[in-house]
Amino acid sequence: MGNDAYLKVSGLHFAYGQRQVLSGIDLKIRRGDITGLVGPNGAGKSTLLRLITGTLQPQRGATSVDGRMIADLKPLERARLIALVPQNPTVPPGFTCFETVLLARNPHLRFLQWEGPRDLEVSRQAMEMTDTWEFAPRLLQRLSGGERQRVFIARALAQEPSILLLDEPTAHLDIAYQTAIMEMMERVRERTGVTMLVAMHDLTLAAHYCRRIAVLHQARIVAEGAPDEVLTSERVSAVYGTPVCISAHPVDGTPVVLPVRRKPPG
Amino acid sequence: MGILTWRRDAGAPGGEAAVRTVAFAYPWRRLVVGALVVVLVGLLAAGVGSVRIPPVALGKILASRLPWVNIDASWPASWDTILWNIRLPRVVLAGLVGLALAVSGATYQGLFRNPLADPYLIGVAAGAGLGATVVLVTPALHFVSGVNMLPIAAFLGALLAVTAAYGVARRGGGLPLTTLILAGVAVAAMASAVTSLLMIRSNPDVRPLLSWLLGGFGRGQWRDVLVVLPYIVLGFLLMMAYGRTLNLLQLEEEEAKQLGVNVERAKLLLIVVASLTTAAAVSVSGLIGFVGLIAPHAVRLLWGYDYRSLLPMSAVIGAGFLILADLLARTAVGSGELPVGIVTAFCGAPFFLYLLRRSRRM
Amino acid sequence: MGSPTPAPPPIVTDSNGNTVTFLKAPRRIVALDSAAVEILYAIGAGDRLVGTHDFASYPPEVSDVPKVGDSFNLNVEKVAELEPDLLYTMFDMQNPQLEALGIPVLYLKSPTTVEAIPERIRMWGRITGEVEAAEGLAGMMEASFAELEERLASVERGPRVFHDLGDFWTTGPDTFQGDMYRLLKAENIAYDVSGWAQFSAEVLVERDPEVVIATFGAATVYGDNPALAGLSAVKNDRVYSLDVDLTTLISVEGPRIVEGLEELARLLYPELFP
Repeated sequence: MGNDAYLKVSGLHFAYGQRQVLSGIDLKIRRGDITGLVGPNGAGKSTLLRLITGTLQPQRGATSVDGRMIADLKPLERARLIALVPQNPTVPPGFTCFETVLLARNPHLRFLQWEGPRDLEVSRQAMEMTDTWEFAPRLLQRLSGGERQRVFIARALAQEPSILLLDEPTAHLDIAYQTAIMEMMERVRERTGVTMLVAMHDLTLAAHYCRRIAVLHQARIVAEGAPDEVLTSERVSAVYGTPVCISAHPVDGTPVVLPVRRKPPG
Repeated sequence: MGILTWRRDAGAPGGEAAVRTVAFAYPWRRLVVGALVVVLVGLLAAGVGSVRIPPVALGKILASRLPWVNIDASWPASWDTILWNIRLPRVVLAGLVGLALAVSGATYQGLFRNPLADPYLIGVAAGAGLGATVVLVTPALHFVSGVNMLPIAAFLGALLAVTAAYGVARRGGGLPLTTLILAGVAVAAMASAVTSLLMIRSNPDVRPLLSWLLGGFGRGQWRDVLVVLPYIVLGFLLMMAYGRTLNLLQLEEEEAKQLGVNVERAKLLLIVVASLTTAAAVSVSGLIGFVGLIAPHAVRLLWGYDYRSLLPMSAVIGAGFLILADLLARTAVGSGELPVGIVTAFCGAPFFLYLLRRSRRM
Repeated sequence: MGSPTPAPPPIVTDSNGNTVTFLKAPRRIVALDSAAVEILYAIGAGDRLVGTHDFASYPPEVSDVPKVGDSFNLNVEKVAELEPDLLYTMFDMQNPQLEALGIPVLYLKSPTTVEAIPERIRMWGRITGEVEAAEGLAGMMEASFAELEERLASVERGPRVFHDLGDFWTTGPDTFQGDMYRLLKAENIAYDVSGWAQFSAEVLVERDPEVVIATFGAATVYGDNPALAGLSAVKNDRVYSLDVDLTTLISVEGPRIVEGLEELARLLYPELFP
């Protein structure tokens, strides 16, 4: 295994109508890594994730997992391999949290088959890993945003995927929930070995928890590597178009991205 | 049985375990009980009508049909005819149509993710009404080669309307659902306009037409049952098979795709099956409203949102409700008949309000 | 010898209870009802008809008369264009509008008994001034009714009959058709129906009509539906389907009702009316 790319994106091109969103994307992710995908709003992070799951088709290029092209896989096979927690997941009315998580067992069930003991067990474990098991019989719509987010992560885990994609899982959450989710993802990774690619808007959080960072800017991956290599003040200022200052985290030295006021006070 | 109970270790010293019940139940028992209740309701309904037949005689008439039983016929032949050739086919037909409308309504509600959807949403009712009107105002078309053209015309009209709506809405391999609804509204408006025009311009008495449009089982025969049975049963089974898919479709289309659902195929199949089933029902019963809209909601309030249980239980409620509504329609007015659609509206609305007030899930 | 004293102007009470006085005999009449049309032609006042409803078909001359819609859907412009001095209708919703245009309206609901027809004829005679012709026609009709009664004198009770308008819709004794059956001494099995209603198939089987009179298109179900196979009318082949013309004969409350009655009598009593 070593440095082999488990998830490999090669030469991906994607356009919405006239607008070229992604142009020649190359990404190599090792098995078991947590990689953060960062970039300005609208850079195409969500689009890239959706292309990797196979629900969007690229104009050119391909994604492969463990050497197999995902375009060659049937939808159910892909669903067993790759799971995505979207940015704004739908909250279906009337579903309990447990029922919501159970939906993810679909790729593992045959057409007319009902959920069996194993499916129920996998779902339960997924919920325990995300600290949501206590919500199981409650209606999903009654939970707070942060609690719901954890249930959606549980759902993705119940798919038993090899690759877990998360689209801005910490957006709109306060610092407590943000760290809770990141800690939870670490735990998940340790226990299950799942490979994760997380689109994030918070650079510092990404640097603190992700082993590698990829920067998406103007339709290309402009940098990829360890956080302290990738997140330099020149690069971040250039990509985001605003001056920043990079400091080192007092605890582990990972980059801390600090905004810089244009005019000092007074 | 399926209701799971999990032990959850408190982790505290002393090791108390909290028992938590997670509600996940297979719906077999409620299905069987529901089906039995419907059969019972049907039998009871067959025992009542505008002609009073004493229960003992009813029992004897039924028993006499069993091949090994030999009872002297001490009752008038008209009673036998009434029970076997008028009431029973009517009750069975009402049950089948109620089942069809309720399941199709639930399917449409799930497909369009809209609680106001009913089986007539994309033009089935207006198309069927137009087909029926064309036949009813053209005496020459009533019977062609001895075949009653009315149900055939209604059926074809319904399918044509849905096909038109589908053709308009379909876009480059996909089927945007909001467009389909709007197309259905437009097609329905057009068909209704033509229907009204035909009604106004026709000389023959419009009463038979009006009573068809309002729905009724007054003409019900065993032959009608045999004709619609395959459509309705097949449609029901197919829609039930897609129960889990319907659950998944409650998520955005893309999320459902990520969970492995072939969304376009599911949409197309469900629309076709639900439309066919509804068209078959409407062709023998006219346009009966309320059942397809209300039955699924009543089931949701009582038993939840999982479509694998929602679909069959809607069938149960729809069948039972329509059998009882038909009972009322044929006994409320002396020797006359009320259109069933009026009864379903009058009874359905207050009942639904009551359920809403009682609900805890909403 | 002086000139005869002029008759007082005819006064008619319409169906709303209002009295309508005809100071002058109308010469431009719009009649929205087939019965009135037939009566007018029959008493020699057909030339006064300047407009009628879309479905008027008898007598043949009426095809040249302009059509203005019908009682429920009146083309008021066309009516105004014809400048009538009388409009006769069976439906009163548009009366205020017509009266505002200065058109005199006579609103009379259709008669519900057969005997009311000669009275109507006389009324039209008084209105149009064709009193003699009207009296002659009315007298003839009453004589025909009397003759029918005589021929039916030997009948104590006629056959049980069911009048099917389609889909088991039928009429009770308080409608015009119901009254026709009363006159013919037949027993309308829908005796507890008021007006028009869709009849219950159960009660139909229970009351077992000996004769079924079905308007055009409604008769096929009797051969088709096994539930009806046991009816006396079906077993004895006495389900009669009326063609379009015959249906009109028994539906229009005008002079031809006599023919309609005779046709019905022929169907009900084949031995008495060969």
